[in-house]
Amino acid sequence: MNDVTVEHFLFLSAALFIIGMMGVLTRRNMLIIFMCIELMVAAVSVSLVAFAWESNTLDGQIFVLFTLAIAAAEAAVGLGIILALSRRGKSVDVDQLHELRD
Amino acid sequence: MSDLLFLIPLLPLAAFCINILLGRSVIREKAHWISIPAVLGSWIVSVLVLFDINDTERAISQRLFTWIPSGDFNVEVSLYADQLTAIMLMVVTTVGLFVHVYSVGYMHGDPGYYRFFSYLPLFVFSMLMLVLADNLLVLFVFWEAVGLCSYFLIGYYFKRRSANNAAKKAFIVNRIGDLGFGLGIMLAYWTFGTISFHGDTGLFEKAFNHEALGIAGGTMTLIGILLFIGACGKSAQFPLHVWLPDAMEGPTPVSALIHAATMVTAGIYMVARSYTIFISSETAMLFVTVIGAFTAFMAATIALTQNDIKRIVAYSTLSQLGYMAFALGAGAWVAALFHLMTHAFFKGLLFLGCGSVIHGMHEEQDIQKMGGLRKYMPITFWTFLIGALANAGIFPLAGFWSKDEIILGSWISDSSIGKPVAIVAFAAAFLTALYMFRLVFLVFFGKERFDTSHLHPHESGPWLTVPLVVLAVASVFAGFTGFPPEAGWLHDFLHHTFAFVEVHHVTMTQTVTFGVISTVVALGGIFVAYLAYHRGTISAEAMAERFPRVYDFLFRKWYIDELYGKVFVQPLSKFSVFLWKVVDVDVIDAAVNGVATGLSATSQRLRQVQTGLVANYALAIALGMVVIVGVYLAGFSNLFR
Repeated sequence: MNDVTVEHFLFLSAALFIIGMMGVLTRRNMLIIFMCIELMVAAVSVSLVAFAWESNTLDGQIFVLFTLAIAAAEAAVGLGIILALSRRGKSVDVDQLHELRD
Repeated sequence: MSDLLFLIPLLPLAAFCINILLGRSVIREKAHWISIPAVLGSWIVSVLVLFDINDTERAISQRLFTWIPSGDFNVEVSLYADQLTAIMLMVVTTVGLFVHVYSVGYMHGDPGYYRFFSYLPLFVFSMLMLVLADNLLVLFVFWEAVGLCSYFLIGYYFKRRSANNAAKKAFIVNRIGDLGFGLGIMLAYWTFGTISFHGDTGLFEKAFNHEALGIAGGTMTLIGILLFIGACGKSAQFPLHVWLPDAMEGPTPVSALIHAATMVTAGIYMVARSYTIFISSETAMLFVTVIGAFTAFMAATIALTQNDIKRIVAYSTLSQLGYMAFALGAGAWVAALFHLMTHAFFKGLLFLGCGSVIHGMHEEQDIQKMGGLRKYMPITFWTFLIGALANAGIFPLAGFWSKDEIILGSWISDSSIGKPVAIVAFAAAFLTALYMFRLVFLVFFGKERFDTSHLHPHESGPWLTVPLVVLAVASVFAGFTGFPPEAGWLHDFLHHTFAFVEVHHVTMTQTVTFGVISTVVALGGIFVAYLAYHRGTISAEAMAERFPRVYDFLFRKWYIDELYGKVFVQPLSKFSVFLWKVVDVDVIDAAVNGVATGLSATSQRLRQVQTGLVANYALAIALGMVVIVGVYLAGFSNLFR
């Protein structure tokens, strides 16, 4: 059990990513979808850290720091959009947001 | 002197610019105060040029600018005035000036007055540049420019459909001639390597020395014939003569200036200018002679049966141009130019007289509805009579001297058909006298054939009658510039231009004999006209009924318009309809519309994919990613190998 290899991390990352993706595909509530997207970003970060750990370099770690910073910014914008939509239409159900179709 | 040459064309051009820009808003009915002084200025400079050349016996030229500098091919725009040009300048500016004066009265109150007085100086400018041109290309440009002015002025009454059609006909028929002219210019450049006229390296000198330069005689013939096809279009020679009678739709001063005195003589001028090309080829000369003689005779026969006063004079113009053409063909160069000059005066006079009659008769043009106008409009009558006598070639009026010289020149020429052509010319001279005096008797003599209680013919005002009188005086005296025959001032003067041809010497006996014959022939024509249309001894109607075929043939103008209609116009129009209805509508439009319809239908299907549901898009992205990763793993990675 001591010999943890990079594959273990990658399986974790893949599992997290697929959970996030299934959430994005199946859920209707925008807030949940948004959280799932964050989960997918986190999954990618895990794999980056895993590779950095394996190759004994810091590049991947630094990359993750940037990813986190951008995810925070994205969260601010995304939450802002959700807030605006909920105020406007009293609903954050994505199936009801199709005014731009026609 | 040479530094003033540019003023001759510049003044009418300036008048055109001023009138066309300011005429509509500012100048309006005072437009003639711009145009007349401009043409008068050109006339004065032209007279100075004439005297200068007469004194120094040298041509003068003025270089203006380089138009096309392109390696070996260098086109200079320069003005060149020799003896031939000086004569043409005098004809154009003199007739042009009096037509301008006449137009003040004739066009009075016309809504397009300023437009008329813009186009007229534009024409004068183009015509002056044409005769001053020093190379073939500049000549060609202004050749087209006079054609354009002719188009504008034939279609001057643009609200009349017939005027528009006549303008288009003139333009299109002239294009056919210009095709020949254009090819001739190209062949001349290809053969001689230059398009400049004068000097040792000019194309006329080279054409004269073509044997020494190793240029084949056939090439010279081809150049000559192509150039003459151009002249046929502009000078209305058979088979391209059909536009000129229709061109009478234009205002009468235009008919006088453009379609009698000046523009239609451009073809004659061009052939005379390039005479060294023609004397190098007997075949080309023969071609010119035959076409000219045929036109002279054919037009004279048609003129016998027409009833429109202007059309009769137009056919007379055709006939006289035919005389000039066969004089060129027979090598009687000076005689052709002599006739060109005298014809400009007396035919200009006749047209202006027609205009005065039409004006006095309140726009009536049918001579069968006139008669007895002698006592209503005496000045018009007397001047018209002088013009008619000059046209018929009665001693001692201008037409007598020049026409006689053409016939004699043809008789004594080296041309193999010179003598038969001279006899045809006598026949045409008889017909000329006959149709001219048919016109005179029907219009001015006899009883009024119109309703005198409603229509009161009147003599025209001084704007119209003064030019008539001046041109009548010119028609009497212009002939004396060529007196005595073959040795007058004009002959000495023009022989400087035609330096490469030897002078034919005629004996006094020949001159007198031919003078007597042509006078007798012309008097015979007048006498027959007198019997038929004044005394009524011979009934013209009975003759027409006895020979209905002949009458119809002449009345229908030898069925040439009908023939062209059947052979060229209708097939072309059918082909155009085919191009329109089948090629354009069924093929091109259908293809374009098909592409549009197909795209629209495809888009209608494709837009169903865009549901607008975020979940669907997310699914598509995810599936796409799965596919890409799957393909990568299966194809490019060695993970599963």
